[in-house]
Amino acid sequence: MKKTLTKLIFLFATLLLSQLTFAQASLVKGQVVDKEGNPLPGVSVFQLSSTNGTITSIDGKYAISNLNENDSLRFSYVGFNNQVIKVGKQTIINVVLLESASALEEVQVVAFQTQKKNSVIGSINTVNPTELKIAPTNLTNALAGKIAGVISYQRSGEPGQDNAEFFIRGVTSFGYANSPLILIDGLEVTTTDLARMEPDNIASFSIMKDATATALYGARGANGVILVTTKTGKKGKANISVRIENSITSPTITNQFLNGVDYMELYNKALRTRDPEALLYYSKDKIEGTRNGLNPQIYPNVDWYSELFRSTVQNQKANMSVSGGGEVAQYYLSVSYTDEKGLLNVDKMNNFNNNIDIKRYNLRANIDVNLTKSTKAMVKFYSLIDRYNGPQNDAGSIFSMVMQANPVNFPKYYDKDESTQFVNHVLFGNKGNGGYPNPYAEMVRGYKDRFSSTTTAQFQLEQDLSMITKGLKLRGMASLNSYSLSEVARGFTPFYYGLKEVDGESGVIHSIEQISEGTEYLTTGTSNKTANNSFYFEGVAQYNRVFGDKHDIGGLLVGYARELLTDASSDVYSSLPFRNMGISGRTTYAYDERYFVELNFGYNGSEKFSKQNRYGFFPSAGLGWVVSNEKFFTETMKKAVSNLKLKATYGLVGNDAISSNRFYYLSSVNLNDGGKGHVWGEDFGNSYNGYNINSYANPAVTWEVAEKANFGLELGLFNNVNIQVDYFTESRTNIYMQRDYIPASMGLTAPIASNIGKAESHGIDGSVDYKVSVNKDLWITSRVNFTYATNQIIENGEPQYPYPYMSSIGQPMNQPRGLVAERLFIDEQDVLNSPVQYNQMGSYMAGDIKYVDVNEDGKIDDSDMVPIGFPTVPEIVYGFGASLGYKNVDFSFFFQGSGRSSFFIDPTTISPFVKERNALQIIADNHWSDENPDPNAFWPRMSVNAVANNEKASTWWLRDGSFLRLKSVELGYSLPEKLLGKMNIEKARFYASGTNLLVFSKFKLWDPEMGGKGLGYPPQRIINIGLNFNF
Amino acid sequence: MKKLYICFAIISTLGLNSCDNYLDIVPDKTQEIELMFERKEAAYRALATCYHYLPQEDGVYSTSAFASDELTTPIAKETPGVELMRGKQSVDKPIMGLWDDTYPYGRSQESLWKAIRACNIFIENIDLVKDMKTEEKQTWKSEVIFLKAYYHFLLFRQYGPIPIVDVNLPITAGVEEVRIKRKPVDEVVEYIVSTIDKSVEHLPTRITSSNDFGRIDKLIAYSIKSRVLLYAASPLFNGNATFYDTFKDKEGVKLFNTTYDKEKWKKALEAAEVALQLADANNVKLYEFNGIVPVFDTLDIKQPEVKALYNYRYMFTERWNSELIWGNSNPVNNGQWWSLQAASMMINPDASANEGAWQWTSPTIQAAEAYYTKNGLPIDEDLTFKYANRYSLARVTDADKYHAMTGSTVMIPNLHLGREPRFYASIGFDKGIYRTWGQKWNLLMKKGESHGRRGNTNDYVITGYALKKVCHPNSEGTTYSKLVAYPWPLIRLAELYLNYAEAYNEYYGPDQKVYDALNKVRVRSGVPTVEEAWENAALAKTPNKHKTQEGLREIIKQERRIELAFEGHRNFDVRRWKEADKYFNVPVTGWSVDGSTTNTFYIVKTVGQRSFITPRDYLHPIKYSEMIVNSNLVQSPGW
Repeated sequence: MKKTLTKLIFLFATLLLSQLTFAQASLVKGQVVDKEGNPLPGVSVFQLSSTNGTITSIDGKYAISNLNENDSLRFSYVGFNNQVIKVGKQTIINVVLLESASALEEVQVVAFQTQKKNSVIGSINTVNPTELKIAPTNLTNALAGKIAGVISYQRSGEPGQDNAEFFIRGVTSFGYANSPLILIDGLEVTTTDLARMEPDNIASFSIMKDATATALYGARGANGVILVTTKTGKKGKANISVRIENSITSPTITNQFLNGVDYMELYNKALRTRDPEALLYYSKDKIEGTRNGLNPQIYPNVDWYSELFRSTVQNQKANMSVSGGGEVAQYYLSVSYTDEKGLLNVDKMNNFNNNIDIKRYNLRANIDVNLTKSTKAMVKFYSLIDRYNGPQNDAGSIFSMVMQANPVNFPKYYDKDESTQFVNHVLFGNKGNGGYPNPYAEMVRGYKDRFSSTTTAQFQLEQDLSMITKGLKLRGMASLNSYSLSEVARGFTPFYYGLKEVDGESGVIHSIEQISEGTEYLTTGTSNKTANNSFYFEGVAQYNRVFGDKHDIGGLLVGYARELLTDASSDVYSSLPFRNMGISGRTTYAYDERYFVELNFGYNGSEKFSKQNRYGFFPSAGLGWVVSNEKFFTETMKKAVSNLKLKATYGLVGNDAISSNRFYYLSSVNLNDGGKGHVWGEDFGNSYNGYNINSYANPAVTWEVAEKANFGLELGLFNNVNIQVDYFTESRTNIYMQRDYIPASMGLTAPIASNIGKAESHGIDGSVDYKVSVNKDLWITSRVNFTYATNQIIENGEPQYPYPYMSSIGQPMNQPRGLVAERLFIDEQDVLNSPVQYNQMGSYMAGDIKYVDVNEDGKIDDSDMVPIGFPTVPEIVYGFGASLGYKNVDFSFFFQGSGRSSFFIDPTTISPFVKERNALQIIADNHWSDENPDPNAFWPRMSVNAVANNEKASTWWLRDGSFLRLKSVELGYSLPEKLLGKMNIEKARFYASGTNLLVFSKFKLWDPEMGGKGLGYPPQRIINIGLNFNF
Repeated sequence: MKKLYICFAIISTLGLNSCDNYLDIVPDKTQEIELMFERKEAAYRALATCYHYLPQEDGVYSTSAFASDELTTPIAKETPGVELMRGKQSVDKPIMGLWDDTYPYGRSQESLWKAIRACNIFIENIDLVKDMKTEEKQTWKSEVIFLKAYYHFLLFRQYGPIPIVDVNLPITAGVEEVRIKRKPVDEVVEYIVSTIDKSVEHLPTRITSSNDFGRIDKLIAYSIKSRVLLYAASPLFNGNATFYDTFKDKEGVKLFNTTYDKEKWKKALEAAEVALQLADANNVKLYEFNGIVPVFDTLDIKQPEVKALYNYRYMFTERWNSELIWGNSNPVNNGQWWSLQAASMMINPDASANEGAWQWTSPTIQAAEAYYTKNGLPIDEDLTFKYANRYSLARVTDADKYHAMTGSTVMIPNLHLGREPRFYASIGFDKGIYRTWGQKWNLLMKKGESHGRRGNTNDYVITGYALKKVCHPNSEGTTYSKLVAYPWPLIRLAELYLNYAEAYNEYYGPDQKVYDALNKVRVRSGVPTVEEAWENAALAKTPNKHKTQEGLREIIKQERRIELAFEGHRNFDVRRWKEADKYFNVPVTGWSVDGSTTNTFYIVKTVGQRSFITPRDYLHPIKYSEMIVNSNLVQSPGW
């Protein structure tokens, strides 16, 4: 504090002084600070075009003499952008230096080691962990648009179930798994483990995309790798950081349903539109009674959505970390707590909580110990405890159930009357024989309790072997991870009541009668237990040395083995441990910081394959050229282009996660199958089970191979723009898949699969960073990320189709198929004059969907289905945003979007009135009818029964899934240091942020990111208030 | 320090040295198919698997009985059989096609190609079993060889020309190899017959151990052979140039021999003769009731027409009776809701529960009219029967007192009066008498009555007729488990007589041998002989009809229709006789069950549309996806 004060006084003084000094002074003084105002010692201050220069002192000050007006000063510092300032008449020149973008990542995390940034040839993107701090509880939701090369989307907003799906460089195989390998501190973890990471604990977050970057992970890296390292302690006094957040969440968009009166009127209309003779289902009396709001027991008009859900909910989160250490040991400790709740209402009648309430406790301890000068031990502990409380049915299904219940069938429960006044249960509404969905009863009928914990312990030993030969290091690591989950649901069976109508003398008399018997007490329903343990060992030998100043040689050899034990025991195979092991290596050579060569290999064994096909060898190589380090690259050129690097890599990567099967070389036979048995004997008593072949042995099955190539460009412009672009291609061969050309006459009881598939993908991803300090008080950074990845199937096991468009070959994976809807039938004449649609399927009439007879065979059937729209996984994902700070205030925003994707609205789930289902407002507003025979209306002719003709997958229901959303906005204020000093606080920042505030899309019914799952738990809009202290 | 190096050395070399062992994690003794053929007990399961695929003819959703003009259901309960008859067959989702897996309610019916593959696996491996004698292995193998032939026959019956799979193709078979072709009908029949012949040698003549009832013996094999050859000689398959002249495979091979060959009838005749002789030698004879007579009938049983009623009812449902040649020993009506019996049972008005009595399988008026009069003549041939006024109501006289309620107010249609015992044994009607549950009670079928439609329920008999034949008289409908399970007759002696009669008449023409065969079946059920019925000019409108080949053919067909009614034969008989246009293309009718009075109830109305497109519907379509996968297949004509 004192220092700051003196600093300020000094600044003031010099400022004043400058007014007084003569204009043509030969002495220039000043101070160099970073954008936070910290003085920078050791900054070179040189007079351009001469050798006259100096460096700044410990408090960032300098003085330089012998200058004249035309001279310019160049300020340069490692890791910061150079600045050149013309002296002119100034005698005091204070400078704010900005960190150069590339320097932020001066050292790059690569597989099993770190490498100097400029020597990395592989395609690796690193994210600043602070960028991932958007959604308060799920890290995976922050990936979309933040990192070039990641295709990501989030379909549900249900707490605990809201992991985003993500693919590195898109979907590249139509085989089994497409998910990347996720490593936290070198250990393989699940997507959920990643989702639960506390961004504050992340030291670096990288994704590895091409063959050279992932080569060392061998068989595990074919779908790309996400590598996260956690923070470690640094020498020095204890540094405490506290963050507290409180957020308010609400659905981004809610579905609009009809009210009771509109519902009944439209129902009657739907009934009559197909059968003019039909008796009206809802009487005039019922409709009028409802309209006039008469007795809601008899004339219910339930808005199920608002009965079931609240509009907002509050969540809390707190996180604290301490780091520091001495010569021998350094530590980083962190503890955090989150409380996340769902939107479900809780009824006062229950003393249990049926709403989602997740409490998470997260503990992390990373300790480094210097055993000797050359030996270092590292211990990392991590533990996550997750307590879940929620409804008996999952919350997503309760959201969907609103669609199933109409507003007028019955109230959520009946009030007790004379005959029921003494019962001690709730009279849940229903009708007929029961069996109509009462979402309210389903929601409050019980609750689920889940407890899960993850514990990881990791021990690492590192030995510098410089005494043997300089640059050689050895490292060994062992770790174990244990996960367990136990879940119990408790609930009662609701008592359902209905309304009885009896014709009395004075008209209809209503009374409540019990429809179905329930239970007054709770019983435990489903319970679920899972446990698994994994063990991992790795040994690494590493060699790095620079010879003769220009020859930089590196080598790395890794051996690892992993074992996963699960409690799965459905059969012998699934109960066996999962193992894989491999050795891999890397050699690098760099000449004069200009030319780079890299060779990698991975050699892997997989338990899944027969001995002759068990091992796979996957080499890769890369070349890099830093053009900007060439001699011909002059200083003036460097002013414009501060960095130019070209790189190219090529290689093979293997994959053994090719299906859910375990051992391809063995068949799996149920030798005692009750479903295949027979009985003989006089009294049918001589009973034998049979056998069933569940899978056929195929010893030829082997690795899926990805052949990857990457061409990259890194470009730094004017010291404040950084551009990184990669073009990639990938060819997957040996994709394990079903041979669909096996006819039924083979008589197989299980499909046969083998390595016959082939697919190709390519795309481009890149990012542009811009950072500038306008002056001491104002700085701006901005970033654009862009990923485009597309793919096509080259070969699969499909049969020879009679029409070429039936083939998937040449089509993207995840390509939707369907009929081409022309329009709605105009009239009966139109129906008669058109080809027959699905002869056996049921009737259709004017106002139903008319399909195009693609193959012109005079009838519409499955052979008229063609590829329609874009793939269901977006081909483009992008994001852009900016942060700016002025003095103590900072502001940032981020937009995220996705493009080139399609999804289907599922008409079977939203078609109104079927089984007395609810109706969406849009259907009331826009449907075909005799009065409004719009051949392009949103909804075809209404019906109270399912119309199979209209439920076929077709262009009618296909929607464009592209959208752009304002993903986050944040406004922060840091208390001035002057104030903080008094309180002994290093830093205090208050902030307010918003997530998912706006979305722009052609699709308005529900949040477009939900795709076809629009009736589920919607993504959440989050308003967040937080504060962050550093002591 | 040194210790540390050792640590590193261990870590880095541990894995590499024991690499292969580390990845060899599958222990010995995992489940492989070879284990099925190590011991006899395991081989039993392999044998059970071969039998497992026998279609469930007694399942309400899988029986062929509905695929006819005999039986129907309320629309809400449509079974696959009814869907088929309503013209809902399609190439996208074939109905009741045994080529594919089908999933009717209840137990799924898997593709018979799977059955054939299981049979071939068994035949290839049974010799490996260590603790079985060679003769026993031979016997088992022969059973499975027969089953393989039978499964081919079931496919042939639906598809005509089918591929023949005598040996399994290996899993690694190439694309072209797996695309097997349909073979010409004659070749298919030849394969089935020669395979049956191959099985016969080592089969036991007759299964005698009660524990093995349901397993294959020589008599079963010869009897099925008789049916196979009868089908092969029938008009649909024998010289059918009208339908199949241009039905060829992709290489131009004709799949039907379009030249009529009379000798095929001779083969059928000989096969029937052989089977009949073997049956006779093994004491297999037409069933006559000799069980315990319920108290309410101890006197009436002396009446021949009541005895005949008992003969016919117990003949079908009495377990392993003297007439049963092959019964499916794996019945579904063993406490299962989806049995045909449960759907057919009528509610006992006195019972407290009726879980096992759905009462919704509905015999049609077409079925009711097919039965003879008590004189053994068709209703339109019997001069004493009021054919023109058959729907008009009349009082029940004492002549019909064993079959219907009597009383001054009871009025029922002429159609239900003066009929042969098999009619009364098989079909229940309003005011008719139903002997079951150990009681004798009356069926009341009008709307709101105990067996009529009540409210708007979908469990009702839409025709006003109840199906008695498939219900064991001792069954009770209170729970599914109280239904008396019985082996569904896959073939019984009466059919052999009818096969014989048909083949003889076709090859040689009318003869006493034919009449004798028919009479055996008739007399057992209290029906006058062919000669008594047709030679009496006072009774028969067309006397001596049985003396011409055409006349006798019609008589044989009707006899078969009556005797084998509701047993799943009708669909295939009508098709092999090429008479589907006449019978399967007209709506089926019933009484107006929504009528609650005599006047409103006894109005004939259409209860189900029927559609049969000739010649398309004579053969099942091959599923569209299968056609795509196997480009060497040709589709059945018309599909």
